[in-house]
Amino acid sequence: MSFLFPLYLAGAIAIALPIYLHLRRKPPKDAVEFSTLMFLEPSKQQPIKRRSQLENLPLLLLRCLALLLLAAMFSRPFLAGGDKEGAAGQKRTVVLIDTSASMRRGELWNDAIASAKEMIGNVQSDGSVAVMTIGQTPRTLVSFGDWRDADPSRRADIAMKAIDEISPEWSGSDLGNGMIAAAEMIADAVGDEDSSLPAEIVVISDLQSGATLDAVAEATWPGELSVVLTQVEASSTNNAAISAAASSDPDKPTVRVRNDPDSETSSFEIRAGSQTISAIVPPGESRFFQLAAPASEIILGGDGEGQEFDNRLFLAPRKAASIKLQFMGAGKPDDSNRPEYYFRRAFSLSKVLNPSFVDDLEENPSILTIARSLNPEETTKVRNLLKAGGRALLVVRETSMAKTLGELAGGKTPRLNEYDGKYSLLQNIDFDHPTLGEFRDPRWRDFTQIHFWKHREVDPADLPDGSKVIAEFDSGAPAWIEIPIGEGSLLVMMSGWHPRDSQLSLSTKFVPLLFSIFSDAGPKVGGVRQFFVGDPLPIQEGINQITLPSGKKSELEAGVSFSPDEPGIYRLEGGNALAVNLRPSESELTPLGKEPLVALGVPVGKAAEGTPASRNRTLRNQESEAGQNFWRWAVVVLLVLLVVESWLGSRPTPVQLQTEATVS
Amino acid sequence: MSANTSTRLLDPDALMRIRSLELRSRVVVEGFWSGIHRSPYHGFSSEFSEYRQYARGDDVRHIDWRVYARSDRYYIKKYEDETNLRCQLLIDGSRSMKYGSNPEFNKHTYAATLAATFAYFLSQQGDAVGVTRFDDKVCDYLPARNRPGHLRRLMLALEAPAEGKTTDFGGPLERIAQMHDRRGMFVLLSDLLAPLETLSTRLGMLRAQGHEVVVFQILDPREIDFEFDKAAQFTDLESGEQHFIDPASARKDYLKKIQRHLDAASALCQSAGIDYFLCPTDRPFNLALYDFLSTRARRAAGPARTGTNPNVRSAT
Repeated sequence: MSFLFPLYLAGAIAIALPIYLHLRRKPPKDAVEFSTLMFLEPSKQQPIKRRSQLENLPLLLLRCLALLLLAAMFSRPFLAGGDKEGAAGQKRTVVLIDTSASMRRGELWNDAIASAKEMIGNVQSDGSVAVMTIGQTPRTLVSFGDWRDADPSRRADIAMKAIDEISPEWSGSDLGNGMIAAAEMIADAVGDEDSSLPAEIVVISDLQSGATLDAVAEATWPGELSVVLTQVEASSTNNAAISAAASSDPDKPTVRVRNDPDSETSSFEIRAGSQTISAIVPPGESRFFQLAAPASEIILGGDGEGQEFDNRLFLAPRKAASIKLQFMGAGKPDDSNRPEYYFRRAFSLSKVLNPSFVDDLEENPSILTIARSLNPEETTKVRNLLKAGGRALLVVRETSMAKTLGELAGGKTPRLNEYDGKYSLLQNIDFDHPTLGEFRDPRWRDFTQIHFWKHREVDPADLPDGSKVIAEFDSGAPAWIEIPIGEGSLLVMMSGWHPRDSQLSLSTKFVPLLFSIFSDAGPKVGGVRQFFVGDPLPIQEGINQITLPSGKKSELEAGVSFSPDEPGIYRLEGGNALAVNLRPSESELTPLGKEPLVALGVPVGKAAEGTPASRNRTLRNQESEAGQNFWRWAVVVLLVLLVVESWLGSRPTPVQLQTEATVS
Repeated sequence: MSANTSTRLLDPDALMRIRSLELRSRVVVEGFWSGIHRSPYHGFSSEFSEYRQYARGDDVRHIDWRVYARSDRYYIKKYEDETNLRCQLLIDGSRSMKYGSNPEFNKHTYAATLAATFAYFLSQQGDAVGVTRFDDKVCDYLPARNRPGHLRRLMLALEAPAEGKTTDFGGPLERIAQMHDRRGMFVLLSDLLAPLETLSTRLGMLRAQGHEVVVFQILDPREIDFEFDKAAQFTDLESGEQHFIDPASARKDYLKKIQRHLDAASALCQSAGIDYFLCPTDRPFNLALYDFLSTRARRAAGPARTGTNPNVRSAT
């Protein structure tokens, strides 16, 4: 017997009322006036005599029965079919084991394996289990198919053996994708079977806050699926991580040491070759330390045993980038009245840049600046370069360059006027434009110190469609214009940076501006290009072999990206080396808790009510109940009971009969 | 009216159906011999009482010179004072008197009827009767008189319901004692359901002044036997206090206490030389009247009040 609305059964508590009324002390209904109470002690109110209870017993039973029937009627009883029985045993379970680098801490891995084995050992005989790991990408160890195909007595052994063979990796933990993969596996396995069978994803992980959950945000979860979080906790909360930081001097690498908020220690040491730096980092904070000499492997010490997984930092020897530049201008390069003089100094030889100035467009210069009128041949070449995705800077030094501007931009020749005012300043600078984004910070965005003595005025209407004015002179004329050409773009400056035109080359903003304009082609000043475990490495075509940190050589297949699976220095054919480090998020070890998952809609804990499957069952129950209609019979019996009750209630009790007899 | 009819009529149940108090009292008195009451006052009326040897301080006017001539002794001649009895009926008008298990009448009606009976009887004999109603103070006071129309006023006063407060004998009885310096008779009609200590002293005071005192303790039969069958909220008529009382469990204790109270009342009356009668409201009035008259007769025969005059007529 099941009930459609079992909550109404709580109404059965109402039988307490008649029982109470029947058992209750008889209230002193009669008030008797008496001459004096001086000889009377107040009596303790006593329950009415047992004899009179017995007299009312049938009435009491009738009333209780009526109330029970009423409660049962509202809860709509029905006889459920047996189809749902035993369904609980057929649960599908996916055991998700976190194999990210943070699981290397202390005894975490052993605890996780023990939890997983216990979980598998507890699975009922007709349940199905799959085992997956969460690393950078989810990996299936035992699928539902493997489980089903195996001999029932050996299923658990197979799963446990598979678990024994895995070990923690060096990757980050993509918990979101792991859970989605597990849910997909359940969905695939269920296939055309009854999707209302319960399913469970058991996540065995340290649930670190650095785990990636992005994929979960837009996921929809099948009904009857619940996610059980089994968190393994490290005994020590001490942890510090080391990572690479930007450094202006490649010979003196800067490292960042981040101490975990839960750490109890703040004293560490950084070892790189023969150097040792003692580092004091309070819990929850980061400090930067600069090494005196270059090093390829830097080791952080002092955060305790078992926490070494994020204590190694690999740095590849840094080489200055070779870049070809071309400045198409008139006059000699060493004439300080010419812009080229300043251009060459901006891109001079440094530890990060090894420039080679070329004069021929055929050499495919990465950085191209035009400061004179071009002949048609040059124009075509430059346009082709731009159309292929290149970038060039056009400095309009005189009004006669109008034709070149028009041809490069691919429109008509605009009319240029020489500005005849005293000087101009910049206004309406578009700091949201990528080229000027570097100057968005209020500390750098002041361009009012730069006077532009001369500039050429152009009517924006003469420029081709898509042109964007990213800065104006205060006369209202465009100062800097971005013109998209094919896949590339042309940046046009209506005034030069040489002293005759402006003070721009004297400004501290000049070099950053040029580097920003050519950010795609030029070196990243100060930035460190880092590679992490699991990221595909940018290996140029033609390189067929890579030397792994262990010293083994690995052949590279053409067209297949190579993703490193451990931190270290990967050496490519030709001498280039790439440093691969642990993903910094792996060092964020604060437990995640289930709230962020719940907030993202993950069905953590029990299956949520109102899932499609439970709706289906409710519908089935409603149909069964509507077919059986037991409540109608309950109404009939209730009415009969009430009639009998009224008759019994109206009958005088023996006591009343006795009283009447005495009176008459 | 036959003796049978008379007896039946005297049953309180029957009698109380007569609405007029005066008629009721007349019915009770009917058939009783109107006795003569000896006056306690010796004076100069015609009825000789005794000779007494002269003592210094006696009024020389009362010396019987003829006896002196015969015996050479001074004798004082005493006479019986034939002035009528002055009787004051003291009715307890407290609210406890309103109680009556019989819906027809309550203790106060019974007491009023009894008082009216005595008053009628006494006024028939020419005695002066007055009424005092009291609760914790004197409420109504009608002095003892024997005039035409006085009985009527007296009946009207008796018909007032018992609306008093609590019974308190102290104040009212003291006041009554102050108001009556001439010796007389006091008939107290009360349920005496109050602490008896003050009653004892006040009645003793009345007795000390030479008054005769008769106490009729009027109680409802329920107050004596406490035959209630149902537990109920009992309300004290005087204080308004309420208790839940289960008679089954409370009866034994009640009976013990009320008996002790009655015994105490009886004992204090006896010790003060007061006639005490317990008078349940189901007791016929003629019996109560008989009690009253019997005490009169006993007084008349008693040595304290009576002289040696052989001419004294018996009260009964």
